Amino acid sequence: MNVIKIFTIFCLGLMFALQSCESFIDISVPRNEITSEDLFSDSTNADAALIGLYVGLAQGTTDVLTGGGMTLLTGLVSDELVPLNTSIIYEEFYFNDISRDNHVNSTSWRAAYSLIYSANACIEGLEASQGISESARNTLLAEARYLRSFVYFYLLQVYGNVPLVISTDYRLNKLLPQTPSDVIYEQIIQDLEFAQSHFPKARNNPNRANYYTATALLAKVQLFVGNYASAVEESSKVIESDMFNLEPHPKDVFVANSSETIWSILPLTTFSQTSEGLTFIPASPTTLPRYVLNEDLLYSFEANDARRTSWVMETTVNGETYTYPNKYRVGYVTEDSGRENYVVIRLAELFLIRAEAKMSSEQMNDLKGAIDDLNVIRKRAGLTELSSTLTHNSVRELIQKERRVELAFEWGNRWMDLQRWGIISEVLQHSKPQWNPSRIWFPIPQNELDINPNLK
Amino acid sequence: MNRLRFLIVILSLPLYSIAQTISGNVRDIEGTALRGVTVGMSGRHNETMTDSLGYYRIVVDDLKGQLYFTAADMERMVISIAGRTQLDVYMRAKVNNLDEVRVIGYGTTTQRNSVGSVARISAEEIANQPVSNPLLALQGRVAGLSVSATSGLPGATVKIQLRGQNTMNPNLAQNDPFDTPLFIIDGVPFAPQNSNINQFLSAVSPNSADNPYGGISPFNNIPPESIESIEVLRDADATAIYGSRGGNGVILITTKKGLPGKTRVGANVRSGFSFVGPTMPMMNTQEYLEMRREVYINDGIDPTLSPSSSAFAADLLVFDSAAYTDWKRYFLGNTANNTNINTTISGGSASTRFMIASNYSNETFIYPGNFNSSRIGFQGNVNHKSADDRFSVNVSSFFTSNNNNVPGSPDIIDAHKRMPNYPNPINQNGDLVWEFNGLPFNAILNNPVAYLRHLYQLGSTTLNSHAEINLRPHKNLIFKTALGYNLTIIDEYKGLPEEAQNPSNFRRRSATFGRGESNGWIVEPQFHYSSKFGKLQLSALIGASIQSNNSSSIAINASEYTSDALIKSISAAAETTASDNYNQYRYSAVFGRLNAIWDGKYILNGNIRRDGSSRFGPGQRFGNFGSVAAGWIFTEERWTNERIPTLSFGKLRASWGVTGSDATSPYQYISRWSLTGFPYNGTVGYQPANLFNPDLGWASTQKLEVGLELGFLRDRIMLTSAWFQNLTGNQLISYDLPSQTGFNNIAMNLNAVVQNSGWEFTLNAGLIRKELFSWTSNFNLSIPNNRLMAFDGLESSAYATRYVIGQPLSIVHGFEYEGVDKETGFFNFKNVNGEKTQQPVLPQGGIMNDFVPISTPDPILYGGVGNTFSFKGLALNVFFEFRKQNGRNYLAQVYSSVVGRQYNLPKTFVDRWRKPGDESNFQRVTTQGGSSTTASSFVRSSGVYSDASYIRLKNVSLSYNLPSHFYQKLFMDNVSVSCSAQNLLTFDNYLGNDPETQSFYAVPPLKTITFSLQMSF
Repeated sequence: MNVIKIFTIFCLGLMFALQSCESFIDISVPRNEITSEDLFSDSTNADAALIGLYVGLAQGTTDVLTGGGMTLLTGLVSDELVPLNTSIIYEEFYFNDISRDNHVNSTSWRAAYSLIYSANACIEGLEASQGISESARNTLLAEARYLRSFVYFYLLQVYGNVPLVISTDYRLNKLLPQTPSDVIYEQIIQDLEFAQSHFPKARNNPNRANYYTATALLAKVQLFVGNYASAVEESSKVIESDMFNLEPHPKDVFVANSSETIWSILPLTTFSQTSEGLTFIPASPTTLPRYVLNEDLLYSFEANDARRTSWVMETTVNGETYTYPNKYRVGYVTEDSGRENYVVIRLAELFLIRAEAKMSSEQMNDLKGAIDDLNVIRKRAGLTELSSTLTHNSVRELIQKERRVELAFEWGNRWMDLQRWGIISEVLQHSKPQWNPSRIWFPIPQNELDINPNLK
Repeated sequence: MNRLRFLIVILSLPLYSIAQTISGNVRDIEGTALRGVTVGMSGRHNETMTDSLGYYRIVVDDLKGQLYFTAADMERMVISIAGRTQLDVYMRAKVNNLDEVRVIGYGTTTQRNSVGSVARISAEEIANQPVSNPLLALQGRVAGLSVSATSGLPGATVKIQLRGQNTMNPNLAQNDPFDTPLFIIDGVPFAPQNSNINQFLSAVSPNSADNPYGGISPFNNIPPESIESIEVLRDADATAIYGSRGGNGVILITTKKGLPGKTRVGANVRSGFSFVGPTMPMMNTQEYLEMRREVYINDGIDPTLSPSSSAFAADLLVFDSAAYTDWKRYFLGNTANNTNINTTISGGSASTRFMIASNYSNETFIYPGNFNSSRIGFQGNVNHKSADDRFSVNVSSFFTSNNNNVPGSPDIIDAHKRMPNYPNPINQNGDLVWEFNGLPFNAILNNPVAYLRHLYQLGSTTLNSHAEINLRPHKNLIFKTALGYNLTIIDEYKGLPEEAQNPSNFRRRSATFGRGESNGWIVEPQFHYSSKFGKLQLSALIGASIQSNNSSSIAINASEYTSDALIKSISAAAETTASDNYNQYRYSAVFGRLNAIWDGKYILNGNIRRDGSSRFGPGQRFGNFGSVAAGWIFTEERWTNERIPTLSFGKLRASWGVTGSDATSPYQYISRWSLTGFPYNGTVGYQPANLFNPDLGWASTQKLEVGLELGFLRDRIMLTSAWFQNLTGNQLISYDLPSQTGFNNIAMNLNAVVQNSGWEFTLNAGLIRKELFSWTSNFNLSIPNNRLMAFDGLESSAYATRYVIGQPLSIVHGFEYEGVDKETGFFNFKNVNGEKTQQPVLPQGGIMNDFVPISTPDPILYGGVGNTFSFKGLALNVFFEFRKQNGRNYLAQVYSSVVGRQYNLPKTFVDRWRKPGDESNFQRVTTQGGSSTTASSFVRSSGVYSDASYIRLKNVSLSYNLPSHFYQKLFMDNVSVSCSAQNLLTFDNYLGNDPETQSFYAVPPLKTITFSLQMSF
């Protein structure tokens, strides 16, 4: 009898244990994490989700398009940079022979979509959120949509067409094929217009997206897709806002807090330099630069161009002289080196966008306006002003030349210009004997093709 | 001298001349008095016997001799009298394999009565092997268990898998599937998934293509000498009591416990050395430079000094063409030393027993420099039983601290592919050299000795405690509560001093400090009932288990140091950033077992378990598991004895059941964001941490096994044969996703079934058992078969070009290699139309193109053969491990670099293609790299797979028990010396260095020779 009694007590105990099991194994998320639900429950937390996107951008290296990759990788495939003292993997970019398993290429693809996912997750979280005021929510949404379009814009420039992913649902996204580029441009313009109309016009923080960054990028996109009137209109909004001024001398353009900067990304720590500074500046006077300037680019600078001496540095190693990009001066941050931010877009480019749009627009055909804008840039570079009686063709050539020099090794502008002007093969087969016109885009990485059968 | 001898004679006179009486009680280790035990004095002729109370009295003429105790069913014991007149003795029952106690989940059994599949490795088998990781002691010893070292370096992880790959690879990269057995040490789960304990990379954990699995093993904290037995539970009957975690098998490790009786002190000192042994030689300078010059002729280009160019040729243009260093010898040609000391004190009475032990071991590395892996440990346990046998408690605990000081840079692994005329890497001051004749070194010419100057240290401390409290309210009932606690703390350091960095880069002194902690507790109340009703022996178990584990890790990156001397301190860094990681795991279960044995003939066993795991979301957390098994001991039937008298034991058994697995990362069912390690603009943000799957649930494995166990010649020969089939469905995997989804994978259950089936044979034979000479032999053989049975939607999945239904999971697809084209000198392959091509097409869009199945690197069969010969005090143990398999050969790694650029090649490449008409296995050397080359197709072809079968003389040990007169006067009970050698010889046809690690650059398992001295007092 005793046995049965003990047994019964034990079984009752077990039943009780079973009841409490359910709550025993219900655990909370780790203390350094938060659930989506909690994150978007109030505006302070939701703002932290946006901060995460900027950290993601700032973490980028020159292997990531938005971290310096636009400058380095497209600089190599186009006619700006030549590898000298670097890993052989970059030779594939220079030879326009990027293999599908080139890991730099797959890193840049992966990093871009990782940022896009974060932006999509922010957008979805914000749209579903109940606890944030309408206006705060719209500002945050504007920021997320701006950042999404920003990444898509550059992704499009190197891969030609890419899958357009605008949700976080992996079941849907994993099989998406490439989307034609005009559809992606439509999405980019929609996102930018949304951002533009929901950002307040006050510029509270130059290191975060705002009305002017959205407008500047919109101007650039409109120029790229051929909506010249809009490009003129949008670039004028920035130029005429009086928020930004050209620095009097090119050497001050890239210093921290330059008045020309529309948007720059901050370094993550006090001792981090820009990825471009780290990549381009040799470690010591006896070290060969990793990348040197393509000779064609060097010859594009007119005599007495202040940009040639401010943005291109020379070094002599073992009796040979090499030139390397030097828009950023700090290769390695130390206690007394000074700090630099990574400039994404600046006022000078808006002048060039407006000049080109004015020249290209058939309705406007505003050659004089174009020359005026061009002269603003030339004057700052210490060059003579152009006469206002130039022909359409020579204005076009001068704009092309000015873009090449002013925006040299800066965010892949040269590569993008060659593509959209349709002169890429013509120019590159001239300056690069191994140029192959069938390879005008970076290849989609092999491991992506392996997993998603709908990619090509 | 003479005076001293005189003194000894005087002092010992009374002992010699006066007869003394010794008395005492003889009991078994459970405390039961033993009757009829013969007690005698060694070397004399007087003997006596114990009475019914186990009491004996013996008259001896010398209190310095030894007494022996023998009885038919007990193990012979010899004890030094050491001047005592009262000697109580506890004897161990002599058991044959059939009745030896085997530990199983929540209980014990014997082979005779077991209907499950359980293998046991004893302390003796482990002791013979001079290994520092207990998993290595299992190599080749257990049918169905595949064990392979990832590297010969001390502390390296050991891969282990029971009965094949149950789970599909979590992703298409070469990651291990999550299907490691559940490890339980003294009732406490240990080292889930056998995961590496390091956060940072080093020579032992390179995480590179040269050694993708490497890492620092959690088992470094389990000294092999502290283990009493390792039980490997394989089938449903043995594992279902572990429910959800038994799906991949269970390995129970039981530590040594104290024995009652005279307090014994044992000591074992072992010391020896290890070396790599012969491996494939590399080219010398003359052969190398000849090859390099040929490259430029082949390619029609000129060598340049532009470091970014593939035509870069420092070796031809700058380095001394007469210099020669054998870098393999430089880095791997050294001898490593090892020392191991352990001591034990044990004893006690029938009611209370104890043991305390300590161990120390130290192993150095074969790399030049002061690198080592050392361990110090303490272990103790106490058992106490009340006089009325109604209460007992036993507590055991061990504490181990392990320290690894390892070369910090993983690049050291292939340092020996430096060109043979690479200049001296060190100058007279011992500083690293970074230029030669004005040419600064870039990454390709990186100074290989720098890799040894990257600092890495890992210290880990483990405390494992276990207590068991038994109450026996009734003679048939035991209420038992098992409590366990485990704590592991890992301190890790990685430092990059300025001196180890190339001055042509920005040299930034940096260090990373890591700390990991994992602590867990487990409480398992149980109710055991056993009773006999006539011919029916019934036992039942019902219990519950709750378990919690918290783990956390912190990594602090520190930089901006002002000197190399300061980089071991965090506070000397001008900048630090930190990151952390936490995870919690909770688990609960109720379980039961019913075992019935009728007349010692028919056995029925059932297990049931309901589990809940915190790894799954609400609604998916609980799962039910169970098994049924039956056995029939047909030799208990009268007819078998009459018809087959040589058959002394025969049992037919079968089991079927369902077990599971919750092996996935935690929190995968919920969408999480984690803190960014850095602030932006002064604010810390959150970044998405995962894709989530709220439907994530248990994987389940159905196991079926049929076994036949036969004993011949009074069980001197025991043969076990088993056939098993495991079907793992609802595959719990980390599914590969294209990056466009934002992540590379998602935890999910896949509707796919993987089958592992096979045959296992184990033979133990006492071939000769004479008084002076004996010969025992053991043999095990496994013939596994792995197959993907079903996979819904395989064609449209990420695995479309990876797996094939009906084929093993290990299947490798690639191009069919067709040799080197005699005319062009490039590799040829066969395309889908059967034509020769040098441009085969990779799979795309789920279509295989020119890919065909080229290899299945799973073992076809594996096992081990051991023989033990003993003659008087001399024992010789010889153990061979064998494995028949196909594997990746050395060409896979050699051709992963561009063959022709500035890397040295194996000497075999002297026979390369040089001119049209040459017949060769190696294509023309070239500087051309990239994915469109024939070399890149070759590494994906059948040319890099070949036979990797081997027979390895895993262990040979010779030991000698010194005759007692050598040490009697020192009051010792036993002294023996032995010599063991591990991995001494390998017989294989493998193309490469070692068929087990299959890596051309990783350090192969070392050959170790040790000498040891064992003493007990």
